Amino acid sequence: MSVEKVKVYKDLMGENEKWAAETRKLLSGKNVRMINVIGSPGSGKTSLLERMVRDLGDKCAFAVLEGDVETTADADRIAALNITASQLLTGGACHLEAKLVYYALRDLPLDDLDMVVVENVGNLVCPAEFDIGEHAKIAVLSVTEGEDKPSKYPLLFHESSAVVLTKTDLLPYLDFDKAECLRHIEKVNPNIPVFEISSKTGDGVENWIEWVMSERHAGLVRNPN
Amino acid sequence: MHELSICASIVDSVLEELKNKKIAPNKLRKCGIVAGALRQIVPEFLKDAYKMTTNGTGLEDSEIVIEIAALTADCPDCGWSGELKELNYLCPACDSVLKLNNGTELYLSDLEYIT
Repeated sequence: MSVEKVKVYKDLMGENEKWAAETRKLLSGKNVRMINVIGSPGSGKTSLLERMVRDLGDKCAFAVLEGDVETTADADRIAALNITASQLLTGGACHLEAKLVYYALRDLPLDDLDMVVVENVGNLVCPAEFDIGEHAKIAVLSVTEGEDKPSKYPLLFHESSAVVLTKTDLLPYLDFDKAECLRHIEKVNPNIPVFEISSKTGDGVENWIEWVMSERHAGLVRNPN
Repeated sequence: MHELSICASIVDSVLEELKNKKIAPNKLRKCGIVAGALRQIVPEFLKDAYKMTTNGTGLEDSEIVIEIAALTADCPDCGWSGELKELNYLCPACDSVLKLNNGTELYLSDLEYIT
């Protein structure tokens, strides 16, 4: 009996990548853009989406996929605003994977949509690892979470195309050092745009919506139908 | 617990590679993986997940060996080159934006088996 060793070099995210590529193909065939919204539990992701429904609703036809471990509470909140919303229950898993998102997308009326917004499971670590076929990841960080989160959870902020800093209406009551927070973001992603917003008062939402719309049009030719 | 999802992918990949190489799963002793520092893999969790995931697959006699690949970068402006202890795109020497070399890789690197 002898021991032998072989070199392999096989990418371990291959299966997920395969489904992510299928998802991109499905979306580009239908001219639909998809963003993947990631942040901690309670960082204001669902409130941000509610605000987007209110402010973006007539400019852009979109649907929401809500990722959660349990309950349909978030999808119910969005559906109450007359937006197509599907709940993706991961049944314990801490993130969404591409295959689940692909099948959920196939149940959406993609021909009638401009954009799909995915709210990932509340978590700063695992969702950043898994490409779900989105065109852009969005990191949501609330001012109540502390300035150093981008350095503590660098992969998410590194992989994201924009940061939304939420709950800015609370700034007068907190010791939050915004310049310090921006410095932490710059360290892990030097040129990323940061949108400071309050979903409650609407402050800053306009700039965010403008970016989402320009992102929506980036690389896409509107379907003439 | 992204380690459990990643482990499912590792076990599938290992079984596929063994099949391609016509090696019986119970001959495997070690499977080596390389994970970039940015992957935030906790080796101890991944080892536990490997034990759970291999149960019933024929791979029960094997262990997983994890190598964490350091995050390294170069500075296009001043020529600084080195390892980063944490992700920081700003050059420690001149504050310019660094070019990362690695840190996000995740692959099966080798298989050790008995014949």
